[in-house]
Amino acid sequence: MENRIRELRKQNKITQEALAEALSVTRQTIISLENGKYNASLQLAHRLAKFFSVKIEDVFIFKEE
Amino acid sequence: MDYKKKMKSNIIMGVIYAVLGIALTISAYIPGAEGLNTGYISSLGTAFTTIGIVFIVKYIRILRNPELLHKYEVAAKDERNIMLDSKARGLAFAVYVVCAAVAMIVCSIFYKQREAMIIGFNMCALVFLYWLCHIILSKKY
Repeated sequence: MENRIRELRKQNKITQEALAEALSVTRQTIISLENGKYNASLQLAHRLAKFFSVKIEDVFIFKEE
Repeated sequence: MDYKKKMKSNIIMGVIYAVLGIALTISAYIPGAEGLNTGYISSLGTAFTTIGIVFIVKYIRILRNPELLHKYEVAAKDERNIMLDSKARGLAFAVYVVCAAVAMIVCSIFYKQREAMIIGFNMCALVFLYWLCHIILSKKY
């Protein structure tokens, strides 16, 4: 699963720390998400989409293997 | 608020540990306890007291500092941390079972039947517990 978190974060000029604070997660979680090492839960995906005011499918790109 | 309650219950746990530790330490010096392993009892008491004091100091410090409380709450509720915790437990379980199996085989080879049996029972109990937890959790979720 790929995502556009880094891109959206940079577009909105938000630091990883600020995004983590807004989503009540650690900065390490944001780093792992951006690097594609960790897939967010449905709740976090929803919170991310809501934070950037976009749809979930605009944040996460699901690729069937 | 919920996390604050958890911190407060941790302080209570700390108090319980400390009281239990002090009671154990004192009981080691009570006349008539000579037949027991008093050295072990007093060491256990000291360990409990230390753990209790560490708990109390740590969680009071967190409760008094809202910034620190928030930091700890975020870290405790962070879904990646929860996943890592779960994966680490799973991996530790698998590693332990493999190591116990190897140790059991080695003990058996060297005619250490008693040790092999203890390790074997321990491993079986752990696997049984895992199976039981799996059944209980599969009914819950």
